[in-house]
Parts: sequence; structure tokens; C-alpha cells
Amino acid sequence: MLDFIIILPLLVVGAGAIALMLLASMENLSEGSTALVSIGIFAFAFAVQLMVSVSGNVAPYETAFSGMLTASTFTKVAGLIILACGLFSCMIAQTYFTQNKFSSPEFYSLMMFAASGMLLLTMAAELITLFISLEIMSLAIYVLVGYDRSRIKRSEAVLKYLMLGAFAGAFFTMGAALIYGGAGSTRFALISKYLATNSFLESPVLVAGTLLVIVAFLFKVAAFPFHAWVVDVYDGAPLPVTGFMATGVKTAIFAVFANFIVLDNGMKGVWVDYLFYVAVFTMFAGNLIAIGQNNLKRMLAASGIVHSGYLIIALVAVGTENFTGGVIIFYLAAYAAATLGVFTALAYLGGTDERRDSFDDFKGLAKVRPYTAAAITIFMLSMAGIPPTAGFMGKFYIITDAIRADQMLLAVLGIVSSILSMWYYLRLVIMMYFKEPEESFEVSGVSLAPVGTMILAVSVFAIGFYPVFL
Amino acid sequence: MNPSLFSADGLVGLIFLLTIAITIAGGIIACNSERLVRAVAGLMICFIGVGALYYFLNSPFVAMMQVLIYVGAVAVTISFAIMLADPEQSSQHGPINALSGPFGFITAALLTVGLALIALKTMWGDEPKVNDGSVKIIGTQLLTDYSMVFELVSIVLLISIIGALVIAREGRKS
Amino acid sequence: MDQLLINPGPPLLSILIFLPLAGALFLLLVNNENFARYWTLAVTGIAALLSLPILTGFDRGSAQFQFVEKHAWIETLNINYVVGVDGISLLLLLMTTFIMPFCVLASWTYIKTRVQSFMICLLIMESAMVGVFVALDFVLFYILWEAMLIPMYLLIGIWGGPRKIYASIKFFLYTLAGSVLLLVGIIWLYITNNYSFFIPDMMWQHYSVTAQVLLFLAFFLAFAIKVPMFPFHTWLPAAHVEAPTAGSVILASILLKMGTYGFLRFALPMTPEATVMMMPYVLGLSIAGIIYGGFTALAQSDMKKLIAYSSVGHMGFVTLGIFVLNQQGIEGAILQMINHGVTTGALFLCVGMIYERTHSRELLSATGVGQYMPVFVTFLGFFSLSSFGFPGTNSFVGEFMILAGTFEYSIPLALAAIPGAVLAAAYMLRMLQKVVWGGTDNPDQSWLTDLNVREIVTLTPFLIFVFWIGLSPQHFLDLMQTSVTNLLDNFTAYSSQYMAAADLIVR
Repeated sequence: MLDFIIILPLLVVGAGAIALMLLASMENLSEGSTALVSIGIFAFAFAVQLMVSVSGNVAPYETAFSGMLTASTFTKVAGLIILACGLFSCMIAQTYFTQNKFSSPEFYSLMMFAASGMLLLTMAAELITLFISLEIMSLAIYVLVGYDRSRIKRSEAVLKYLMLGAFAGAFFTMGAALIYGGAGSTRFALISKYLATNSFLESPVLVAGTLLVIVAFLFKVAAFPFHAWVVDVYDGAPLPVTGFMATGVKTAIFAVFANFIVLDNGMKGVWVDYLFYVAVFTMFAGNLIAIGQNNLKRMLAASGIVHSGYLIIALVAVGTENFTGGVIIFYLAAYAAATLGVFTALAYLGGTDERRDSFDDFKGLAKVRPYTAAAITIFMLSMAGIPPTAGFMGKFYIITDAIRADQMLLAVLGIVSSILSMWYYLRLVIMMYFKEPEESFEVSGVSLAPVGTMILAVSVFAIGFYPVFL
Repeated sequence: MNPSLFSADGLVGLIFLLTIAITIAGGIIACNSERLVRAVAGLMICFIGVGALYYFLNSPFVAMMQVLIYVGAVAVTISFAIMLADPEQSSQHGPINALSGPFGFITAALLTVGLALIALKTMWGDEPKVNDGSVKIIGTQLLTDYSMVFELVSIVLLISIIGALVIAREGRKS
Repeated sequence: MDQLLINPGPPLLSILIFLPLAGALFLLLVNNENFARYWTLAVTGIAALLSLPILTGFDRGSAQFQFVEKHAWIETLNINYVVGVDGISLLLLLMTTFIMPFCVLASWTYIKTRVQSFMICLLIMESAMVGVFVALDFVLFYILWEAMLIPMYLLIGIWGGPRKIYASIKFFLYTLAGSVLLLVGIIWLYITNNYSFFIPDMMWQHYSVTAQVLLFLAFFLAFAIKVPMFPFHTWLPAAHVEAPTAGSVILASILLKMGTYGFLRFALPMTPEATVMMMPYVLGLSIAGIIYGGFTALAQSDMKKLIAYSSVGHMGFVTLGIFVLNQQGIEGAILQMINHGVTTGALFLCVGMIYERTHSRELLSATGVGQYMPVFVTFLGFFSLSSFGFPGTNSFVGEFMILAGTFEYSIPLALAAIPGAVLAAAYMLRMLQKVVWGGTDNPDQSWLTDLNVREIVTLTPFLIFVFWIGLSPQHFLDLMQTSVTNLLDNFTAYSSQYMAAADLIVR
């Protein structure tokens, strides 16, 4: 019985997705009410996830469904973040579709399916389950990215994402097969047990298998050598999807990445040395790409690379003993709040067909819409890691962890990179505050996104000051 | 101990090599043919080869599924798609990088050598017991330990169907 | 925890921190410019009044932290909300709360656009600045230290002069980059000190010499940029020149003091050995700053720039006083921090008042206003005299004590600093002469109106403090004496212990 309680939120979202499609077959369901229904489903799932009591810091591999899933505070909070991302993405979508006309109820259904894939991913404790949930998430996201077929930019994005995503999936399958060959099981618990008695490095097949699995994860989070796709894909995807991808996918993958990397101390020790370089290069490559962008969505995509870099620092620093993942989760929450905040604001500022998308388009916003400008500034500062925002606290915890794990150099490089990132975050602030407005930023219709923006702006501070996740 | 070529073991070995040759040949055809239909044909050959390899790996059920699903269903679907699409395919290629050939070859060679080394160097445990690979065992597994995954696959299918419909409908509109 | 006196009464320090913040939040909802002005004046005024009980209730005989409040904040990392004042921070705290209402007054008509946003920035600044001076938890300190940058950045960037974007970014990135290593240092201290961010616990610990030197360098980079010391000063003139009057005043009077406060609060007690090792270099840079600031100020034709460079010189005196490491030097330095806050703040206000009339900061366009603005030039005269340390004014006492302390430490060093004082007289008198009398080619200034009541009210308190500190400095020195003595006692005790240990090793 307990097993089902663990996946209850997932069932809610999945059933919600199907129910929504059934509802949609009734003609009288308008676009706005579809969005409201899906927001309601996400909110309900959030509440369910909140109530599902997973007490304390459960050991990583206390398992459910005969070893297929794991549940701990870590996965629970990751699930909460994902569901919140879904909720705000629906708000974004609602507003977005008042100005862009290509929506249908299936859009929200697919969003929920993607969310259920992500939820599974956070809890997956077995390689086949992991693969299936990865595919559930990815398939839904592919379709969402290419939803608007009328624009060539979207087709380019979906093609790139599909191709590289398929590669990542292939890498993962190959790695999983090799790990199975080496350790004799696909379950994390048994792999961990095997590694506890056998040396990791003496088994080349395990080394190769874990390498391929890690490569697949790095692909999905756009870490250094595998980061090239992310800018075009984020730019080409419709705004709500980009927001959901940037936050939800990252949360899910990092959750499962963390669950995977703490399998065994010896294995982690081997890969940490390489993840060190991955983290450094990811941060600096991301910064270099972001500095060159003139388009806001592209800049956010590139900055997403940088944030992946910080999260990899956190992974490098996690201990396999008493793993709680609080630092990673906190950073993910802070990042999600800030990123979705910007996207909610873009949803109503972007205009028809995402007309306003470059830095120059936001000239003088502070004069015309001071509250929105202030909120965007808060999000930018949080992403840049300026106190007293949640982003700063997130970086602070990561750096503390890194220094505690004797990674002083990584900590210093992390801070240097966050200073570099100021350059492009501040650019938007400069545009909004120090330039004269050229247009009136009219916003059509009553919509939900402004509410979302304000909620997220407050939560950027709230998460920072009351770090309940730690 | 080298079995003679004309003993039973030798013939089996020969067939095994033949299977590998079929697989590789199919792959090469699929990659290099100018026309899509031929590429699909190559893919089919490749799939058949892989199916035969599964058989050699003591997994007749998987081998059968491979032939049924991939050769039977997937390849046919692809053929349909190609025939429904515009046959007047412009065969224009973008500028092909002169280095892409050698690079591809080197990467593939490295991968092969790497996998071979892994296969040779690993002390294979005796954990994954060879069983008869029968439908019965697979069925039991799917409905006990892997029941959840089994159910999840249905979600994957559902998403694929929805996705296909959504994209197809969008295309029809315009 | 024995350094703390827990505050039994009302949580005054917290009120001082959160009152302006609450005021700012309320202003978010207001859409009336005049109300915003009065509201901000009221909030800053109340904060100033509320800081008076701290002065009267402060126990001068104790070197402990007083009015302490302690609440758990983030328990997993042992981060607490701890605030308290001692003799070193008390005066700076009071100066902050008292200067703010006058900044509001000075911006009354100067700021014409987006008044609410301006006032919100000012109020947030006040919260952060008060917080920096009273924070006793390193994370709290760092958060407020960095949080201050944003409102200041906006103050310069939105309401600043023609090159505001350049100036604001330079200010922001410079100071941000400075604190990069500070954060690493803080976390290192946290881990070394048994996972505690409590500042007094980190003092007088026996860290290894290498660690101390590295820590000192991290501190130095952060604080020296803030002060700013000689090679790190280039952001200051740009920021000062472009900032609106209130911004310049806050920058000169309060922000710069945070650097020197940081040296006193962190560098000396946490890295005493490194301080001794690095002392000669820091003193050299201080002298360089004094001379450089003086000469550069002499060559300026822009009044704000002139005062900005004079700040570099004056802050050079302050660091000189701190790093000669004796009672007179440090007391003089603290007093000089206050003096510089009062005098330079007032000078910036004066320049702002001229700028409001002529819309130019050029010295040449402000020549010969004495005839038409007698009240104004009287104020300007006194503040200029104070700025170069004329006897009877506040800066005389401060500079005298610093120089006396320097003589005690090394006569050549003191002699090297003297030209700075002479240069100060030269550039200040040059400015005063031009502004009051000018020459035969003065522009027509007859249309200028003299100061109005609001402006006189703004400047008078500064003048009172100029003479109060100048004529009876003992009131102020009493407040800090015990803390400074305690700091130096600890310092000598620590170094002698270290020397003894070093002796033992040598034998």
C-alpha cells in the first residue's frame, strides 16, 4: 500500500492528463478553462506530494515497487519543485496563448505527462525504470517543443533536440547494459551492494557503463562538451515549454544524477575528478556563450548552462555518507523560481508571436511597468547570486559544501564565474532602468502570468530566508 | 582448440560470422544509399542480422520480437511514410566537410576497440545466469518485478500517439 | 559568548535595521511623490531618534558587544541572526542614522523623476548600512555588505549624470569582484572554527601564518577596494561624479567607512600576525594614497571630482592611523572616519546645491558666487577649512591624532604624510577662492538665489558637528576608548605570545 502512496502525486498528474483530454473532447471547454483545470491538477498534485509523508532522510535505496523506486526527502522535495514548475508553466502558457494562437488541450496534457515522467525520474532506482521515465519525459517534451509547426524556428529546435536526445538515450541504454553486465543487476541497491564488495576500477565494463550513463545525464543538463544544442532549442521552443524544460528537466535529471552518483564512494571518487573539469568548463563556456547573446531567451539558455555548472560543483561535493541532497535541491529551487519568474514576465511582455525577445526590446521598462521591472531585476539578481536572494544562498551553500569537500579551487572558480555572469544579467537591468522607453508595453487581456511573477518574486526571497529544504 | 570448419561447431561459427556480416552490410547500405527506400531496405537487413544475433545469445523470444516489430512493423511504417512523402526529393547535400569521413572512421574505430577491450578485460561475473530465455520467464518477470515498468510503457505509447496526432493535425491545418 | 551583553530592553538594533525596510515596502504601494518624500523623511528621522537610546544606554566602560540580539536563523549551517555594537561601530552606526534624513532633504527637489523608487533605494540602503555595522554573524554581514550594492547601483544608474551607466557598472563590478575572496575566506573561517559564523569567536584564534596571510589578502582586497586605497581607487571618482547628491553623500560618508571598519573589525583581530607582516606595505599604500589624492585633487576642474580625490587622500590618513597599530592612531582613525563623513558629506551637499542652480559641476561656471550667495559660501568656507584640518575644526583633531600616532611608530613615515595635509590646504583653498571670489572673468551669477530654509536646515547640523568634534573631541573619544584599548591589548597579548612561541622555536 505504501508503494502506491509514494507515486500518488504521479498518478494524480497522469490521470489528470488523461482526464483533461477527455474533458477537452467536449466542445465547450475554452482555452482559458483548460489552463485553469491543469493548474488545478498541478496544485492538487503539489498538495498530495506535500502530504505524502516520507519521514526523515531515508537512506538512498530504501525502495518501493520491488526495488524500482526510491523515496526520500530529497525525491519528495524534487517532486515538489517539479510540480511547482508545472504549475507556473501552465500559468505562463495561459497568458502566452492569449497572444499566440496554436494551443489545444493536448498541450497541457503533454505538460502533465512530462511532469509525471520527471517525478518518476527523481525516484527511479533502477536502470530500466530510469530509462522509461527518461523517455516519458523526453517524448512529451519533444512534442511540446515542436508544437507550433508553422514556424521554421520551432522545427529546427525540435530536430536538434530530438536527434541529440536520441543520442543521449542511446548512450544511456548502452551504459545501462554494460552496468548490468558488470554488476549483474539493474537495481541501484544491488549495484551498490556489488560495488561495496568489488573494486570499481577493476571492472572496465562498469567504468564504461557508468561513463556512458553519466554522459547521457550531462547531455540532458547541457554540461560542457554536450552543451551546444541548448541555445537553439531553448530559443526555438515556445516560451512555456522553454520555461518548463529549463527548470523541470534540470531538476529531474539532477535528482537522478545525484541518486546515481552516490551509489558508491569508489565510483564517485573516480568520476569526481573528471566532473571537476566538466563543472569548470561548463561554467565558463556557458558564460562565454551568454555574454555574446542579444536575445533574452538565448541568454537564459546559456545561463542555464552556467547553472548546470554550479550544480555539478554541488555533485562533486556531495558525500556518499548520509546523503541528503539538500544543497542541490535548494539550488534547484532557487534557480527554478528565478527562471520561471523571468518566463512568466516574458509571457505577458513578449507580445504576439514572441515579438519582444531581445535586450533592446526592454528599454525603459522600469518607467512604464515599474513592478514588473523590479521583479525581473530580482530574478536576474537571484540568478547572478547577489544577496539577499535565494540564488545567493544557493551558491553560498554550494561553495560551503565545496570547501568542506576540500575543493577550494572549484569554489573560487565558481565565484569568479558568478562575477562574470553579472555582465549579462546586469545588461537587462541597464536596459530596463537606465534607458528611455520607446513603447508602452501594452498587455492584452486579464491573465495569470503577472500573478505568477509576483508570487515568484516574493518566493525568491522567501526561499532564501527560510530554507526549509535543508 | 580449433574446431574444424566442417564440424557442427564450425558451421555454427560460420553462420555466426555470416550474421555479423549481414548486420554490418545492412548498416552500411542504410547509411550510404542515396535513395531513402534503399536505405530502409538496408535497415531491414540490419534488423534481421541483429535478430539473428539475439538468437545466438540464447534469446529466441527477443529474436522473434525483433523480426516481428522492427522488420515487420517499424520498417514497413517507415516505407509508408516515405511513399506518402514527396518522392521528388532534392538530393542536395550541404557542403560535406572533408574531415567528416576520417573523423567518423576514427571515432567508430576507437569505439570498437574500446568495446572490445572492455569485453576482453572484464572479469565477467557469473551473476547473470543464462536461462532458456523463454516467453514464460519473461512474462513472469514483466508481471512481477517489472510490473510498474510494464505499465509505464503504456504511458510512453500514449504520449507517442498523442504527439503524432497533434503534430499531424497541425500540419494539416496549414 | 562572553563578549556579549544580551540586550534586555526593546530590540533597538533590529528596529533600526527593519524600520527603513518596512518603510520601503510600504512605499512600494504608494503613488504620490510628495507623500514619498515626507514619508521617507519621517522614517529616517524616527530611525535617527531611535538610535539615541543606544548612545545613552551604551556602557562606555565595557569592551563587550552591547544591545545584542541573537536568534537562530538557518540552523543546519549554524547561521544566526546576531547583532550588537561596541565602541568601534557605535559612532559609525549613529553617523549612518543621522546622515540619512539629510540625504532625504538634499534630494527634496534635486530628484524630480521616479521619486518613490529613489526613496525606496535610500531606505533599503539605510537598512543594509546599519546592518553591516552591527552584524556579528559573518553570513549576515556578507549578505548585507553585498545587498547594499544594488540600491547604490540603481541610485547612480538611474538618477546619475551623463556617464552614469559606465560609472554604475564600474562601481558595481569593482566592489563585487573585491568581495569574491572574502566569501571564500568566510567559509574557510567557518569550517576551521568548528562550523560557526559567529564573528567574535573567530577573533584571536591561532590560525597558521600561511592561512592568516591568505585571509588577510582576501580581506584586504575586499576592504581596500571599498575604502578605496590607492591602486584600487579608480571606481570612486567615476561613481562620485555621476551619482546624485544623496548618492555621493552616502558613498563618501558611509560606504567608504565600511572598508576601514572591516579592517578594524576583521583584519586586525582575525589575522594579527599577517597584519604585522603586511603592515609596511599597507602603510606605504596609505602614504601613496594621501599624496596621490592630494596632487590629483589639485588638478581637478570638476568640483565633485576634486572632493572625490580628496576622499582618497583622507581615507589614506584613516588607513595610516589604523595600521600604525597604537592607541592614538586607531582612535584618530575612527574619529577621522566620522570627520570625513561629516565634512565630505557636507561638501558634497554644497556642490549639489550649486549644481541644482547652475546645472554644472565645473569649477569655472561656479566662480564668484560669494557675492550673491553669502550664506552658502559661509557654509562652504567652514567645511573647506574643516576638510584640510584647520585647528578648531573636527578634522584637525583626527589628523593630529593620526599623525601623532604615526610619529610614535616611525618619524620618516609621519614626515612623508605631512605633504598630504599641505596639499589638502592647497586644493581646498583653491576651490574656495574660485567659488567665493573668482577672477575678473566670472560668469554672470547675479541670478542665483541664496540657500533656502530647507538647505540651511540640511547643512547646519553638519556645521554643529564640525565644531563639536573640533572643540571637544573627548565626548566622542570616550565612546570608543575602551574598545580600542581592548583591541590593542588583545593584539599585543597575541603578538607577544606569538613572539614567545617563535623565540622558543628559534632556540
